[in-house]
Amino acid sequence: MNLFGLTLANPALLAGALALFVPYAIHLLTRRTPRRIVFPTLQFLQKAQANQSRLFRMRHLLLMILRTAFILMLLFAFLRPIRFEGRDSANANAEASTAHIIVLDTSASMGYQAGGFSPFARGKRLAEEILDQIGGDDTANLILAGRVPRASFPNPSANRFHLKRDLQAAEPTFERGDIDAAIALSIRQLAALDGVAKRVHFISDFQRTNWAAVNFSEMPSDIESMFIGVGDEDGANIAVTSLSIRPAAPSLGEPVELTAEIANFSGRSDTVTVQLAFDDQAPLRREVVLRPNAVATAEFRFRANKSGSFEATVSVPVDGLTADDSRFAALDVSERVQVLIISDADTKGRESSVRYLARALSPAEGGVGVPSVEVVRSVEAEDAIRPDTEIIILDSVSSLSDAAARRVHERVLSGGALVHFLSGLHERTLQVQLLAQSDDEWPMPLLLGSRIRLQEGDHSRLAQANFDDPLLKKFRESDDLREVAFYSYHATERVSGVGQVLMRYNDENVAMARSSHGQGMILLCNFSASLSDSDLSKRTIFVPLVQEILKSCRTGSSRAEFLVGQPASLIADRAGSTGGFRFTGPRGEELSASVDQRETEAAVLFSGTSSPGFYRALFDGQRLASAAVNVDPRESDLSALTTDQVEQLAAGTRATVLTGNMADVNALGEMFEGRPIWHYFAAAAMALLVLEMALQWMWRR
Amino acid sequence: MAAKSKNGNGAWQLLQPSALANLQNLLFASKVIVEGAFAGRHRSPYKGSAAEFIDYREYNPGDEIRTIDWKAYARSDRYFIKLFQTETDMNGYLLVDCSASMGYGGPSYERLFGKETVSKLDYAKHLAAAISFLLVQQGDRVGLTLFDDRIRTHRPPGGTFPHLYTLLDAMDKQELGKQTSLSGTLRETYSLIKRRGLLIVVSDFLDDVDEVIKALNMYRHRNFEVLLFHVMHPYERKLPPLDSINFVDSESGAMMTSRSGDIAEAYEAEVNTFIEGLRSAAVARGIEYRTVLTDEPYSDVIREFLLKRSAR
Repeated sequence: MNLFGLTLANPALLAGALALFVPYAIHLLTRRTPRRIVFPTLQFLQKAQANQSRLFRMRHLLLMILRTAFILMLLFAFLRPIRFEGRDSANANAEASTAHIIVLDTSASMGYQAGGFSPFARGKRLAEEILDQIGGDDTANLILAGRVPRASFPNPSANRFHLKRDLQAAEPTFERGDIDAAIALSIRQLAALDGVAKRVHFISDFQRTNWAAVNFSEMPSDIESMFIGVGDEDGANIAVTSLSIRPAAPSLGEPVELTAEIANFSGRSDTVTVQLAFDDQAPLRREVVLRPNAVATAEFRFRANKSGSFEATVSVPVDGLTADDSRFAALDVSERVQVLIISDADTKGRESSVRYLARALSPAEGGVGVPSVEVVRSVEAEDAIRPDTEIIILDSVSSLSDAAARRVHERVLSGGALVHFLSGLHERTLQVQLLAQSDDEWPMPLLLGSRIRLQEGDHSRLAQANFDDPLLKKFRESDDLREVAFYSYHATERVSGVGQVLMRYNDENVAMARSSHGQGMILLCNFSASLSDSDLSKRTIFVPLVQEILKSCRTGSSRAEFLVGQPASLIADRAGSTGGFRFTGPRGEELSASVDQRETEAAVLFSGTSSPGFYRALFDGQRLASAAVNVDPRESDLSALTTDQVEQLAAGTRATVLTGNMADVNALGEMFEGRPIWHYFAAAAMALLVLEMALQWMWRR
Repeated sequence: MAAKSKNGNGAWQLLQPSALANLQNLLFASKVIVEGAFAGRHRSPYKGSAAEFIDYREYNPGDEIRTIDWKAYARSDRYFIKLFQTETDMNGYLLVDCSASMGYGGPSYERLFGKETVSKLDYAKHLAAAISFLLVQQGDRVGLTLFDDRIRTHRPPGGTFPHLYTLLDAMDKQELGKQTSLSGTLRETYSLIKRRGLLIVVSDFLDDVDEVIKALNMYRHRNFEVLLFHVMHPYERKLPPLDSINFVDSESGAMMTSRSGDIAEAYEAEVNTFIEGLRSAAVARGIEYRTVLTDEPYSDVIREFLLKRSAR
């Protein structure tokens, strides 16, 4: 029985509430049936009463209130009230059975362990406590909220043994939890039940980055939500949250810059040693000063002295959350960067841009790190575009076959780069063709108009340039770019929202624009190296500009970043049958993977990843390629939502929040069994009694 | 206090032998010289040859020659006259209040008070009886007036034990009366008293104090020595320890309900003010005043009173 939000363990004594009227009864009875005394005279009494009546009426009233409160407290003490901490006690003793779903957060942050138990261990303990506490007629289910929520049963079940077994076997993952999916699964399971009370217990560290955007709007009103926080209040963590390699796929001897972002999710400054290790080579180290709650970078510069597939591991000293103390990156070093120039221009003539381009791309032919440049005509393009072609340059192309255009689209989509010098007369046709072959997905930052050819002696110059862009950054301090004279180019119209403009002429036409497409990029250069179109190729800036273009084309990662829990893939440079392939996980464990064998390479797909590290494709025991799988960096920030924030998040639902120190086993026990509070009432009754006696004593004095 | 004597005579029980035993060696003396036809142990205002020599004074022309002490003349060659003081009996007038207010206390209140207490009237009767006995025993004369709103019984003074018996018998038979009119009684009695003497009033004085004092002034003007015994019950001086009480005025029948705890303090203050007013008014007129609580032995009260008087 419930009264004033309290559950009464001894409701039979509620009849004792009649005792509340005792003080009133006494008051009335003593007023109306006093002892009768024949007194000598009333003259002194009447004077005395006239002086004292108001004060004593107040004293009477106070005494009556005190006595009523005393009896009320005494009554409550005997009723043995039980408070269900933070719960809707109206449902605490609901007669109908209850379907419980325990959503246990298994995201990576739950594995944080800074001495004592991890949040996950605490969560398991509390989940077990819940299973122990729920009623005999109740049903329950366990949902492990990882990237994909996994339920023990399709519906809440009475099989506690199985649930406990699943709970015992549960371990924190390296994944990011999909709480919305877990909520949806809970709602789906509970929606199928009728005639029972429904309750979802969320046991989590309520990590801000994971929970702040969780949507509870779909939570039906008949489901009671309980939020049980198990996170560490001082979740200090230092993590490697990002790796970037420039160029992403360097060639032999090429300088490579690896930048690691080190995040300090704590209120203390620290200095850590960041270590970069390639396979079994001696590691490189950097000291990094970390400010409180800030991100610092550690930069490593090196040259690849041999080609092949390499595994880079950047790590910081081990702390409470080990999953993000290392970050992994696979690095493929090619012998040479493969550049394909497709041009129908005369390669011999003075006006030919191709000759200048090829020379600028490979000024020291045959040297280490020098790209391999191949020049083909448009009719040969289809065959010339290979998977290892990193950069395709279109210059003065009259037309492309649909197949070639298709190959260009596919190559860019899979991480290659296209540099399109809009130097010919058929560029608009070419743009339409590429658009058509990409199923209208070809991003066009510019619409081309008629070709502008300035009068003899007249020219345009570059008036605006985005020197913040890495491509142009090196030219910020010099006037070289501004001095280039351009005689012929296309009139352009900017397509808003697509790509970005890097340079403009002084007549506002766009000189250079870039857009991304799939994993690759497209760079449109509205000029030509031909001497008839500009004097660019005569300028000293020409070669550096071409080299920067080349470099910028390779900044995009050729490898997608894989996160734990997601599928991971890699391209193994191996033709032939799939026999002889073997796949291993980060700890060397054998894995299965699907292989899509192509002409010169094999695409390998690991359908699921469970831990960070390298997923490898081996052939005859030799590693062909690796896919780096990392923990989602959002798991590294362990700051948790406050109780108020959780309540706010779940506003509109029947939510109860037990976070912080409340969520220990005792608190949970009190939540289910209730906390007897009769002694408080007994103490209050005694206090009232003492107060009354003290007042009486004082007044009698 | 009210225990019956062995011979069962209701009149004599009022004397309470135990209480009277305490008075055996006390001399009940009046400070004021009263007139009396009989020599007694009280100083007579009449100086003459009969009795006790007290002093000399020089002869003045007009003095009786027979009063000259010739022996003193022979010794000193001067004329002196001997002065004498005659010891004579005293008239005591006892006024005992029998009004309804004097019924407070007694057996009917035992259940309320939780203990046996004596009523004010009983106490007054015992006190008056003791005083009467004392006066008669030492040869004085005593009269008695019982009153409420008027005189119910009046006995002129007498000095014999049979007379004493009639007084005690009258007191014994006197029931509670009606309203108090002490001032009226004093005025009425004044005309009945022929000789000056000692006026002893035993009452609760629940009357208009000013009127009472005015009436007493008449006696004082005739040089009466006046003693006031203000009889009060302990639960009149302080309210009885009961939570809620329906007070009924003993004389008017008016009712008032209150909690004794609430007004006890103020009540006590009011009573004290009343007592103090009466006392100061009495003392200012040379009237002896004594508050007597019914739980005090009356013999103690008398002894204390006499000791105090003898010290004067």
